Amino acid sequence: MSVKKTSPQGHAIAKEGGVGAQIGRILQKREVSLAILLVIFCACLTAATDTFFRTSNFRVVLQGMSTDMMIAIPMCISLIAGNIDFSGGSALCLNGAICAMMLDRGVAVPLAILIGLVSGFLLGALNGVIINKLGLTPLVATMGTWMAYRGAALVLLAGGTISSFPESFLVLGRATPAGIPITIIYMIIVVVVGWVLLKYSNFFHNAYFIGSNKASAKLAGINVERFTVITYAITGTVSAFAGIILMARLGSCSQNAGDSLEFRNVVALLVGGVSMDGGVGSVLGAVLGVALMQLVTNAITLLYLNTSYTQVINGCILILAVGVDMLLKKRKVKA
Amino acid sequence: MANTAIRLVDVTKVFPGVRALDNVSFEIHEGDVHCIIGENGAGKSTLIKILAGVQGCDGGHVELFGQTVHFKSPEDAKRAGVGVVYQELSNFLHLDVASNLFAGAVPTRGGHIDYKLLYQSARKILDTCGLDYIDEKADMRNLSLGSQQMVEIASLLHENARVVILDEPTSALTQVEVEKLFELIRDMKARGVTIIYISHRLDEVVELADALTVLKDGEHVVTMPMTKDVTKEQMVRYMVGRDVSYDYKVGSTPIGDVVMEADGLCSGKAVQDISFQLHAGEILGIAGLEGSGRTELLETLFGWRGLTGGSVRIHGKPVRVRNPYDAKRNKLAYITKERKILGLFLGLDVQQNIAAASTERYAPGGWVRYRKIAENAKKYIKAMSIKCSGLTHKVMNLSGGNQQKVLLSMWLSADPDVVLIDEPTRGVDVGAKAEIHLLLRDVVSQNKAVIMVSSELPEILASCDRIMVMYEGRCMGILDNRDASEEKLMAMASGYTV
Repeated sequence: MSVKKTSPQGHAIAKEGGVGAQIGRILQKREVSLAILLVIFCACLTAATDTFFRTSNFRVVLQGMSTDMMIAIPMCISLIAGNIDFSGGSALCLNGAICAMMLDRGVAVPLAILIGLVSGFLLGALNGVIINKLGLTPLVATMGTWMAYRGAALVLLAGGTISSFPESFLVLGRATPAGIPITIIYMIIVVVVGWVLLKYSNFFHNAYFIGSNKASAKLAGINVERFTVITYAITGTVSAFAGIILMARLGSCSQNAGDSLEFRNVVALLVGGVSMDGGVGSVLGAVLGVALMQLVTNAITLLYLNTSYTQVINGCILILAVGVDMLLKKRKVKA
Repeated sequence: MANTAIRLVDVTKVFPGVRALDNVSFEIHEGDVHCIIGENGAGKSTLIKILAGVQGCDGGHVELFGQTVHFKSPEDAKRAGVGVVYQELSNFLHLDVASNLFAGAVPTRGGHIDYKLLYQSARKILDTCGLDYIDEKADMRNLSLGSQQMVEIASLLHENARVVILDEPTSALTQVEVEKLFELIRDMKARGVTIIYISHRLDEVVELADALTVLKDGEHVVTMPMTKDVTKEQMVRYMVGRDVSYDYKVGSTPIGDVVMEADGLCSGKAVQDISFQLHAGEILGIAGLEGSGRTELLETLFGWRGLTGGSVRIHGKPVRVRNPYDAKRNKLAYITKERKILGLFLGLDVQQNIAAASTERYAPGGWVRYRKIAENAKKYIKAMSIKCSGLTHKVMNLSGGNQQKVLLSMWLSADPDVVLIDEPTRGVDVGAKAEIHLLLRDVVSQNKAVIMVSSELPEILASCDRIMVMYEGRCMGILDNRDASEEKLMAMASGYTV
């Protein structure tokens, strides 16, 4: 949806048209325009408040976005292949709860985490299996698991919270090697690995073919079903990991963990230039999309505005970002 | 003689690059069953669309019962009494029969639907059409295709259609259903309804027609009353009879060993008991009419459609191709006729498309090497002279001929032994046609083989070393190019052996 390489004529003109046209062409890349928007946004915030441009605030922002960001990366790869995933937030909560219950019953920390990750993998893969075997659309399938997983978490936690974790567990979310909060390090690792996989691993790169035309991809001998199951399983695993880390950081397991994360992330991905129809998008776009959402939240807090405005603003950004794209596309068709 | 129901005067319809109808003039008498026959692309469908108000004509006009009409929409045509039953039925599958009969005009009382009256009237309509075996409360989707078609016809009669157009009505019917349909047609005729009947099946034409019109390449060939003297040979001659002026170097490559062997291949009803041998260096053509199972045969070979019987051997070894993945591993390639929907990735660029069927080749150890993708794409863009601005040109912005070349490059990159290709030149302009055929000849010269489906007999004759003719899912015979002629192929494709 975002990046439209120019038509042959446009290409020729851009080459001959010198710097101006070149810049125009680059600006059409969603990643570029979004990055510029982010810089302007930060500059405005720096000018408007004296609390924004501070290490402590950056730490808050980065830590705040780490959970969303980690889950957004596999969601992005999945969505490029046309497979939307709404179950991320619920998977975070349910698998976190499973891990918490294990810890509560005295299971060793590594084993409890492993169980949480494995259940995340399986519950994620279940999405793919439902889509492949029952032929449901990804939207319907993951809406179903989104609701069911959230409900299962409520059942497991029975309305309460679990908050007596061993110190060796808590450190996984609270350590600050070299002064950097460990959650930020996890986030950076997930982003880099996701970027490398999507761009350079043949298996994940197939997302673009599958998203562009699923039937053609099947016909070209790409194993679409296996791809679907594996990418959903990865989203599930990363969601479980994010849930476990979130618990370690907060020191408790809440039934509201990851609430509405999936919607926030889908919006962030669309803003970041991933197409709902599939075939288009990048990890960089996803990162910028999530960052923008998080900065809006931060700005609202720093400016002492009613936090309910966050959703209004994010909604408007979504409509603007995608709407401008559509307008550009229409103009191009006419021209 | 009866009154004239429809008179066409110099009707012309031009599409970009083709004259679909070229000054077509003829008359259809009231109360006749008037058959229209012709090869694929003769202009039959365009003619129906003009009569039904789906398309306007670019020249000439249509007179209906003596009055000049210019239908702007299908509703216009319906109001004037022209109804069409298309090959692809267009009913409301989830509603019941009665609602289908009264679609858009259900009887109401005081503003709400009068269900009692609806079902009573529906029953009456069905009974008067002799369709007493159809339940007015049954859901449409539970009816057989034949019954659904009957309901559509009944609905037209109920709307007082004076002209009913049937577009290949028997193509999906069983023998019993065909009998029922013919009864209904005779019944309509007895009531003075004029029927325009489009069919590929000459036997049906002989059985039903009062008059016959033959179209060819958008031109009117002949309109004549159907007497006992009109033979099927004569009809075939009218349908074909044109000059062939192609040179695609047929027969210029040496024929090698058997590459692929099919024995008693079946896939449901669409493909029945097909056997053939395919040699390296050979282009095997598959001729046949729309719906004769040509495409389905390719789909079966490629594992896109389930195999229900028979076996395939490649290089003498029995293989089981269950999906395109298996097919690719066994060095098959398949280029579909719907290349935009099934084949290409329109939103991606040229180099990505060319890489799509052989991604492993550019990713040693599973890691993508973009340089390899670009190198391969450059090679094919040059070899096939694909006209594009560069590697990152989006495929959706290419012309039909260049898109076909990109798809061909995609599959040749996978280095197949057998290329299956369906309608290689559909939507391709004349210049690119010859280029694509010469490319296919070049492919077989590299010890590979091609199976090519085409609706255009001249194309098949000019490019294929041997030709298999299919009719209703069966093989009517395999001819050597030297023994084949358009007349022969057309006759066999109409289910009629010379």
